[in-house]
Amino acid sequence: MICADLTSLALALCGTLGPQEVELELGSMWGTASREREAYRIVDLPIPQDIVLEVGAFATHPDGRVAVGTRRGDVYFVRGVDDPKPEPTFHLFATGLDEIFGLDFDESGLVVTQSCEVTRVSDEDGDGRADRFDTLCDGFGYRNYHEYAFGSERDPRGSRYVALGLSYSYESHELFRGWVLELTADGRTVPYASGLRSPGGIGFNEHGQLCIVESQGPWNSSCSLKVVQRGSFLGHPAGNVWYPFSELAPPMEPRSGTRVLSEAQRIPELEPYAVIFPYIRMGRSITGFSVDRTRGRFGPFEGQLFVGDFSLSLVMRVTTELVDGVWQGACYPFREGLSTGLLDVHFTPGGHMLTGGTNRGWPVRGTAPFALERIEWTGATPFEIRRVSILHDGFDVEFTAPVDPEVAAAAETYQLSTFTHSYHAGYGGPEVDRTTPKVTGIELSADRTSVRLRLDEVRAGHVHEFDLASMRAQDGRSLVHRHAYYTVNRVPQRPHPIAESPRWLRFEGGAGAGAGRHIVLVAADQEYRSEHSLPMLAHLLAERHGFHTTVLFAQNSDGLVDPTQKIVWEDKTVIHDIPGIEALDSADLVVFFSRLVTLPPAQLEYIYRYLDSGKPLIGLRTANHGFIGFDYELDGRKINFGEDVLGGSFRNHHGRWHQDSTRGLIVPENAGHPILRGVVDVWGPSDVYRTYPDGGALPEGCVPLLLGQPLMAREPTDPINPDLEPLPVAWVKTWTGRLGRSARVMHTTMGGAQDFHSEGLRRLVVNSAYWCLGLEDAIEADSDMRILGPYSPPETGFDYENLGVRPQPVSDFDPRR
Amino acid sequence: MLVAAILSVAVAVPWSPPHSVGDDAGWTIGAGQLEPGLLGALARRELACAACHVDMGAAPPPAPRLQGLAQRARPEFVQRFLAAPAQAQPGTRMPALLAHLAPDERAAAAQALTHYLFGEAAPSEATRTPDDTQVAAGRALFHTVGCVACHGALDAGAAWTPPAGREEAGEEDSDEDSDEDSEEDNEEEGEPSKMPAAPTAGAESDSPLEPARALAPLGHVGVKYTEAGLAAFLFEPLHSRTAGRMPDMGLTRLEAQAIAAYLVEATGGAGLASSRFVVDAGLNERGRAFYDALRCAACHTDEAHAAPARTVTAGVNHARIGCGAADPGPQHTGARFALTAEVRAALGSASDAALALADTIALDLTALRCDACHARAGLGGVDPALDRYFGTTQPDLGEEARIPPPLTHVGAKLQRDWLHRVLFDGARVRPYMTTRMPSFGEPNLKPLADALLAADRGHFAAYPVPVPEGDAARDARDGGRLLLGTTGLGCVTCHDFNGTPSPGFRGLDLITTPERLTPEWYARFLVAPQSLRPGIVMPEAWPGGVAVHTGILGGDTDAQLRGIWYYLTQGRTAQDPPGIRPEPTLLSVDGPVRVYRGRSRVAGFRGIAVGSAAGLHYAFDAEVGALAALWRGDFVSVRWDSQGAGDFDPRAEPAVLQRELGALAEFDPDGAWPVRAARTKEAPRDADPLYARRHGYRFLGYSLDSSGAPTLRYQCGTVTIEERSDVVVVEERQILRRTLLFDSPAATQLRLRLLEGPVAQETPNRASAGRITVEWSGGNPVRSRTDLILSFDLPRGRSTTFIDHDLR
Repeated sequence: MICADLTSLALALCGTLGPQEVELELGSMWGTASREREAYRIVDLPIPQDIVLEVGAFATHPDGRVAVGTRRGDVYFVRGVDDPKPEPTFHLFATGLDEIFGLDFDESGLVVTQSCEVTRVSDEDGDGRADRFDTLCDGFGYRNYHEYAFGSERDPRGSRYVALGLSYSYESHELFRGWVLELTADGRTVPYASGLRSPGGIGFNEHGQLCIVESQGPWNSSCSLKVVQRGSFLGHPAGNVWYPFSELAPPMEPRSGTRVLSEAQRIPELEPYAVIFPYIRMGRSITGFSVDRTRGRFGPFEGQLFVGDFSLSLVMRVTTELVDGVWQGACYPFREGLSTGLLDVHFTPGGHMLTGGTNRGWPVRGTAPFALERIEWTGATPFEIRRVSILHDGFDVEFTAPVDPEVAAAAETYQLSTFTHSYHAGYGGPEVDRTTPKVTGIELSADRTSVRLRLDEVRAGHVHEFDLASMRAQDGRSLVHRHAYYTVNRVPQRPHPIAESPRWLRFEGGAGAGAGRHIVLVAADQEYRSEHSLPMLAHLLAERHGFHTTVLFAQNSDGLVDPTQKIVWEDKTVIHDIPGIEALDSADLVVFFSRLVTLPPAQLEYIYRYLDSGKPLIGLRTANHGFIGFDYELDGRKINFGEDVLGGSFRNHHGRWHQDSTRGLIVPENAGHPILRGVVDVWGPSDVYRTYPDGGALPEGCVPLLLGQPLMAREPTDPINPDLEPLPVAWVKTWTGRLGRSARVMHTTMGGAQDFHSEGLRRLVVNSAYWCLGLEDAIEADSDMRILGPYSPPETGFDYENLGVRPQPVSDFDPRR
Repeated sequence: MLVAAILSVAVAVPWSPPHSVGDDAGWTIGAGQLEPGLLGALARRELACAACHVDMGAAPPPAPRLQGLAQRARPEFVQRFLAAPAQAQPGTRMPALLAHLAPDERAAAAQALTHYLFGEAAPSEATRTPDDTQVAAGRALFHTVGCVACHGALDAGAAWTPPAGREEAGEEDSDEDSDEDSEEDNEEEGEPSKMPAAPTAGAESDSPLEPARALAPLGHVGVKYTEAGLAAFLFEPLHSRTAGRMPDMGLTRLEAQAIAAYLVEATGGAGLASSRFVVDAGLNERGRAFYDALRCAACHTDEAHAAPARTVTAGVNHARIGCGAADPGPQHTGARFALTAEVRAALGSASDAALALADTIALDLTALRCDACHARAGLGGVDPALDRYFGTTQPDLGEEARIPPPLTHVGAKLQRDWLHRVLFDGARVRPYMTTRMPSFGEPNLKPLADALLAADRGHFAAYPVPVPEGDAARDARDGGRLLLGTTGLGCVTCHDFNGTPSPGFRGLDLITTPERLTPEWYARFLVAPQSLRPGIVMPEAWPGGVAVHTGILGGDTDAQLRGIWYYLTQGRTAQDPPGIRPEPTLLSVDGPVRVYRGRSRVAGFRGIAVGSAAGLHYAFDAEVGALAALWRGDFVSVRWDSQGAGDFDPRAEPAVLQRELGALAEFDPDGAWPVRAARTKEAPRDADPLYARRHGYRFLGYSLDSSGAPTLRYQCGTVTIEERSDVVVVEERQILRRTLLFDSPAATQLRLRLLEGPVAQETPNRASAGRITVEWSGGNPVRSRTDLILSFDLPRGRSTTFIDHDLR
């Protein structure tokens, strides 16, 4: 026996590492070739013995032949690539060129991108051989063999683009190395974008957007597909030295050791990498790409992008989407086992995919020095993840075949993890900041081909890695490839969850840190004109801070907002009604401003449920005695909404009701609290409430932010009343409901409608919304708190007739009207 | 109705056996090799019993597609074949279906069916005189690529014979021509003596060959196919015969045409008249009715016909009753198979039990005739009588280079994906073997591939090859390299490596090893090649498991085996082992002028090398518009073996003229000629990236004339210059004459810089520097010591000047 001493070692290792899974230095293959071939066959296209076909670029000739440009500088026109048993014929059209990585036909003939220039190559005498070579673009330096040039096809404006790799792949010693140049329809060369390292291809994605593929290396922890726009900076700063030779303004220098997304916020030109290909798992040096526009002849991936990999001799799929103005998307394994390192892929007129390349110069999985191979669809539909698209709270995962509903409904079917890369000058980089999102919801589409996944978090800046190993098709098949990798640059805004209705007000959130969050404001008092102040606040929160907001009102039986309604102490028959209270279920934060309302049990149930949810709340002024008949028990004890939830309830008017006013004083030891950021001046004509007995204190757990100092009279400039001590008028605390979930709570006893003329109070409340939602990092001292439109609420009090307070339709309170 | 009438009438007439065929015309594949039970199972499957009978096993392999029949077969043959298949085509698996009819009715039915199957008119084919060259090529191919394995040799003389003096050949006769030699040998030695004895039924075979195994005879081919139809069939046999029983031999279209020409001639089809077949509508319609009534669609499945209902045959002895019986009697109106007695008996004893894995493998190897070339566990292998037809271009590599590899334990030898690529995708690694491994179609081989893997996997103890890291990786890599090279075991003296030919014999390329082989087979094979390949010429490098080379990787056998494996996984970047070296590619010029763009030390990165058959070559630096270098002799060599593009290198020491801008519109004669910014290690960045642009230079391109000579175009300020250079003979010396055509929108001055100093001006219009002498007309030298600068007064419009360059 050979190596008997190794047998035990072999057995020990083979438990985890079977003979098929031997780890090679290039990185493991997916090991899926046998499954892949059922749907996608690789057919070798024989190359005549005297031809060396190190494919660098493909294009389809108008007459249907396929043009092949080679690294050796030849252009062949190939006929017969689609024949059932291919025996293609090769016609040498042009020779003597310099490493070709771009071919494109137009009305005037063939345009070749070779290392030294972009050249129009034509056959003037019509003998089938090129005899004229016109230089279209050589406005860039070329003095190192590694300075490759890749050329795109034309865009609708007639421009072509050239992607220029760096010198030695690290430096930019020559003009515009590391740039994309635009070659315009009228022949001008225009510097277009910088930041390239060593691109492997340039072209258009499935939506027609110009893209390059970039290899792993400095400033690129993995390979990626990047979007190129005019003025983009694509991440590698070496080429930025050439900005003085362009009309573009140079971007700031990137800081090494950061994250692309955070640097992109600082450097507007920095384009977040649209699709990241996790290193080794998804290739090592991705190259030319092409969009499947075969109208289904290539199988179920019409309209998707296919990209080759040089090192691992395989092809991957890509889908992209534009979210909030930023490109991102996913990549998926597709087909491994090609014979050589791929430099380009191309769809033929017959609907097959041609692949070609070389294995010269770098480690390559495929052992053939060059090859021309065709991937063809066998007609069998593989069970694959067709596409992953992002949603505001998760992903939509689409499959090529109906899935088993039972397996699809199980959360453990979806093994998700995320990572991001360091954005740094070093070569490559590890996957860092790993997280494991939890699946919080699964909905299967009616046709069972897509699953809407809700996650506890979708993290911008992270690649979301899907492993659906246990997913099964309805017919029992497992996935050919269990993985997909979605790069999240933007999480799309959640749509406003509440529909339009005449019975409430609804404000769509705009841009801002609150984007996607939903705040419900409940206006149900009879004294302080919350029907005026809350719509104003809701408008401000939406328009200036991005929150979706909904304002609910207490309404009478005529469906009118009616602050004149009696309370049950005055009229035993009164039952209040807050239409739309169901909105609490979709709220991320509720602002309560009710006063002594008696709600039907069904409506109270929504409030109880909200208190159980662990979601935060804000109480304004009378909210601490907001409800009568409140019947919520915790640990066998009846809960008082004011005392227990908000941290205090109205005991008496400490200030003199309707005679003095309140000056807010920041509590010095808590001045650093995020809610107080930018809050400098608070004053309001409402008086100070006492919420605990004389000589007492705020309950334990309450953090006072603001003390209310009664003034002598009702002008902000009035002196303080030395006889009345200041009492807390704003504090924060935590509330824990029946399910044990804790929520942030902020309560202020200020809040008469006139008080909100104070920018400081508005800031206090808006900052509180941020803080309650855990967005304290986004609170900025100088954020915009200006009221939108006119704001002139009536005075507070019960003299309805004189104040002009009467039942009115909801629309009368819409600040946008 | 019509058909029903014929059939019913037919039964009524007195029956006599229409024809009888001897055993030798019966279908017989597998006889003599398989146990009767297994042979019966094979017969059931191959004869497609399940097409008609529900209880006869799984779906059978599909019968040939009949669409397109008119494009390949002759109607006369088809009609004859339908009437009596085994007589027309001995060995066919097609049963007789009209045997129960009276002779005239049988003929009428066959005729109607033919009119139906030839639903469209067959193309008429002009009678062709055989092309001798093509026929000879076809004969050689037929007897070389592997056709003989199943069909037998038709020509005893065409066999491959080892070159004479084989034992001594190693030293002297291993040059790369051996390929051609052996083919020539074939043709020269091939005695065109007598027409081959096509092994037709009943014909007496006087062939010297007596193959031990049943063959698929070809005697009918010449009359069955048109030559074009046969060529098309041979090119893509799987198109019409999807079951893969006639595999795709990987023939090119030309090869298929050659073999077709040869076979047609060899089997009596040459010169066969072919008249246009006109389809009779009435016969066509009756033929269709027959087609349905005879249940042809049960086997010949297609979209146009529904598969007929199947019947139960429980309890029937298929050897004695019904379709399989030697004489089923007049009442039997169904199919009648022509079978040998052995097959017939086996059919009767076939069991319905599920087959063991080894048996399914044996069955497939037999059915697909893998066994005609490959041995596995005592079954099959090359028939000794046919051995001589298995050739190689590398006879010194021994039988391994000639005889297809055994399949014993192949499922444990090959990586699964590689096995798939060989079986399904046509991957091949033995270019020296003249017999070709054919393609059978993935669906036909998939079960066999699965079975081989299942049966063999785990046969050898696993041999882990963990990836070393750090210094260990370097040591393993270097050790592997030294072992493969002449510094170690010298593997590369008999094996190609990474695309580079071995200097000795051309054994298969080692770089694919980790892609193809399992580590366990690899390790076992390297240590004890004879244990897996008895008789192989591969030496034992670790006799008894002990390393011979104690100086490499500590002389540890496992470290060495793993080192080689790891080294080979480096693929293309694996540094070549000592003992082989890729040569730079020599570009020569022996016809039209040759233009080559690339980087070089003589003309920069935007260099254009121009070579002429006259042997005087130049390089133009397109970055600055200057004639940069001249040399005589061979043109250039080009390196195409690394990351970079092919940089060119003149094959002789060139004379460098100058490397700065070649022409200037604005120039102060007292000042310096503007030069490119120097770059240093410390300041590698181009400090003057607009050097050429700033001085008005722009390269516009070039055009080639009918001789391939380029006219270069560039811009200097407002002047456009077209420049071409020709080799002319002046006073018996070959010189390079530059013709410069200026086109200027206005009268202007232009300066050309021709030489970089020190310059010696010899006459008013001649100067030299180094090995170059230039002579001009029209221009005036404004400087001729440190460098040579000529000034030209250009008129508005076009003007021309000539400058001669002589290289000593």
